[in-house]
Amino acid sequence: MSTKNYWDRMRQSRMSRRAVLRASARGGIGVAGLALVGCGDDDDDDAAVAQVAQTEPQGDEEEQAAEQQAEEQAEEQDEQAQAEEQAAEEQAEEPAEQAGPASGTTDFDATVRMAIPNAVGGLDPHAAGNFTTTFNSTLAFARPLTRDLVTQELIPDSAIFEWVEDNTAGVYSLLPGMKWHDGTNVTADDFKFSFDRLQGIAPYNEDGVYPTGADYIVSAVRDEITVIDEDTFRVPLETDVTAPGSMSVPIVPRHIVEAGGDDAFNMEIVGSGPFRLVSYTADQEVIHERNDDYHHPSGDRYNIHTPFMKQLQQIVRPEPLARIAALEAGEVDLITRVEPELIADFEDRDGFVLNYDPGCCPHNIFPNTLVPLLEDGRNPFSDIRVRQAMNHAVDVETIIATLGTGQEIRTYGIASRSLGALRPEQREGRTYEFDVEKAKALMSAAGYEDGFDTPLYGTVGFFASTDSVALVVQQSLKAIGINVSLTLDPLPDFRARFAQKDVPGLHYYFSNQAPDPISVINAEVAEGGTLATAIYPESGIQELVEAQRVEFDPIKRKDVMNELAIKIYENASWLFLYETVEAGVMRDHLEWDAKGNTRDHNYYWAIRPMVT
Amino acid sequence: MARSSFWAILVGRLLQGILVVFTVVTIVFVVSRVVGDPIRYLASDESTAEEIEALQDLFGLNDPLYEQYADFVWDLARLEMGNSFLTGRSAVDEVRSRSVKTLQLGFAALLFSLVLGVPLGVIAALRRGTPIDWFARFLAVIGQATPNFFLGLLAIFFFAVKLGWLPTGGGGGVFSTNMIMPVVVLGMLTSAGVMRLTRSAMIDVMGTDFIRTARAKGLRERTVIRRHALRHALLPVATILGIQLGRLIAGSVIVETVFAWPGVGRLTISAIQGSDYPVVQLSIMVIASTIVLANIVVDLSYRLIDPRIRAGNA
Repeated sequence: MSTKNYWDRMRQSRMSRRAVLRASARGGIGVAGLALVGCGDDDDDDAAVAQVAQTEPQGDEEEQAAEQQAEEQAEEQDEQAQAEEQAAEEQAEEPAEQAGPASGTTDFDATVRMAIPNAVGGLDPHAAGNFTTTFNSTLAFARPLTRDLVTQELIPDSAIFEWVEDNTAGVYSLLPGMKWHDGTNVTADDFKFSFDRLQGIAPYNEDGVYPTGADYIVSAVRDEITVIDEDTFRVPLETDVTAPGSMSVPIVPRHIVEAGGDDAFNMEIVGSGPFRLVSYTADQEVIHERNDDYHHPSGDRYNIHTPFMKQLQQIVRPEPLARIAALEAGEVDLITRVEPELIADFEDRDGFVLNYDPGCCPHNIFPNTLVPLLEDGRNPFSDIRVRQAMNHAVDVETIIATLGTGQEIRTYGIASRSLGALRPEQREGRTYEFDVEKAKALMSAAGYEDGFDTPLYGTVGFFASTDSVALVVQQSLKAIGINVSLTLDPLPDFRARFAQKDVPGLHYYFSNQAPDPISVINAEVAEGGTLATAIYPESGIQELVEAQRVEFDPIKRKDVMNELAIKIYENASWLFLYETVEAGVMRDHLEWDAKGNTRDHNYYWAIRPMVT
Repeated sequence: MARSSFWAILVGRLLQGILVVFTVVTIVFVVSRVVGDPIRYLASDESTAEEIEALQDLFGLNDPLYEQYADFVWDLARLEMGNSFLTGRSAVDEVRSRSVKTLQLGFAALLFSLVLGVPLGVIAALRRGTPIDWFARFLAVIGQATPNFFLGLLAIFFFAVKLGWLPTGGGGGVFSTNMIMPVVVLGMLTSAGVMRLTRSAMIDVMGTDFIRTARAKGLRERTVIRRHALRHALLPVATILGIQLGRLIAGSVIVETVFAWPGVGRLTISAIQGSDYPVVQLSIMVIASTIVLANIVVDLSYRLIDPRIRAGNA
């Protein structure tokens, strides 16, 4: 289908159609327009529109700006002349390229358009409440370290890390050649500023409070960060192997933030990441373009390299069906995070590629063992046999086949696609197979042959089918005597209750799917974690949590993590369900190898548009 | 109507309106704090209790509800609505930039409903019992019975996907093609009402003595309809326009979401989802004020237009 709409085609059509259009405009739209003149059009004065690349000189600065403009024009002319000269030389050397890139090769001039559900809030990756836009804002920012998607190892994103002083501090050395999108050099002082800003102690912040909600990222920092030289800084750290990896601090430019303030930076971001922001219209569209000065060139590691595409346009379509319509109408090239059943028919359609990728979140049901459940003060969930019985009572495979897409996988450990999971060969003989009789026997052995009552809190409206799955779990547990009263709430209400940690019963929640599940361990497994309600002091889990924190040998650490995963699974710590899949569709001129990671994790620079 | 009487009624209606808006905003204030918590959106799963408390302190959410309400009323009295929790920008700026878009959509939908509803109503009345009348009434029933979101998705499927004539959504200026579908979908319900009202009024008027007199004078049928019948038949239509505008503004919440139209309705939904109290309160206040003002204007204009009410009031 043509990407041009009716009106575009009309303009290029024959005269009679133009006449029809003109008549229509006179008769209807024109009248409507005149009547609406009073309403105006706020496109020009909408403060939410941040035209980053365009600023106008004002007041006393006009003369200076005019001179600067003249200089810039002269420079541009020089550059243009040089470029023309260079182009002429290239043409002479490579005449075959005059015809443009051949079909089937990468189209480095392509614009990739995608539909996204929202773009509310600002783009400052440090600011509180930017979770809905973080996946956009992170395109423009680099972090000190990142993880290799294949090997799971920590690798430099913008700095090389080294433990010093008997693992009580770390030294970061900046990668060479890093520049902000405004062309200035990235320095160690910018890194210190970014860490300090998240802690509310950056010098420009007179209040000493910065509303971030992300300051946990720097919780491993023990003391003041010192800048050693322009390219090196030292961070006093908790002796915890996960500390450098957990500090995924987006690095922001000190000179820009201090000059414009937090609010301005929130709308007009400048980073050093693979994309630079072109414009942001809140709730409408976000446009990024390739940062050709990015410090990881094309061909570098998969998850950090200069984008193939020239520009990325993200347009907002809140309704999932409208996003699909935008794809079909040719307005966008790809959509992500759509409920699988809505796009199943793209499977057999020419011109489209349907993707099922690992989702963000393993689904599990967390028993609360911190507070009594029964009137006599007992908590049946503290008994491993009850938890094993629950896991045997629920037919996870059938849930996946009937309520899911069939693409989901069972959860083993914290997240099956991470370090914190049982390896495939370890699953044999350990899997909780669906066996009601075995479950009943376990309930009897635990002294609960008559069962008990418990609430089950779940969510509705966030992930597909969670309400149906909760109903199935309710019926499955009833078969072994556990009478479940079901309460389904929107996610925020559910989460607020869950985070209180004093509400007895079962809580159906979702973990994060990350290569290294340290954030899940800290929040949901470690004693005292913000969402840790399923705590088993005698299980040895906490000891392993502590052990992996100080295991600095990467190979040994993997083993400790694996041991922890086995312990969590064998302990039946949760009612293990399944890991979701993300579904998306893209036009077939795009190539995007997700390398085992979800396509929603904004690795948009890995999208390769092909010449067709 | 005596001048003093008009002003007394105006002041009375304004005071009533202020009371209504204040009540609405108070209800929103209480309900949003009972069912929502912005910290859930501002903090992450891993935020510690201290970090969460710091955020609550920052936004004044640790204070007792009555203190928060007292602060809110005091701020309202000084027309200070605070900053958005999500963007840090002034809530007034956030809502103002979006209100223009919603008014643009609302007025256009109102105009569409008149352009479609009045002629259709007149034709249906004049051709009573014919297929045209049946078609018009069928259209009205469809317009009133079909939910906006469903009609919107159907329109997207047909005009954007199948025909490729219009974009699936997005904002735009007065003359942009992005406006066509939201305006038509939003205006369908109102145009159905306008059509039915015009039709019934025209049928009533066409049977009156002064129409018979006009015909007896030898006037052309077109003149009778345009200069005599229609002018009288439009009186009730004119009086409901203000109310319809209020309904359109309120109804734009759904249409703006379906068509990604960046109006105050979309903003309200986003703000409610994020428990962005300042923006929720202000946007609801703007919507409520629009409806109240529209009602006041209708009330007063009705008195001005209809001599019977004026006389009764005197």
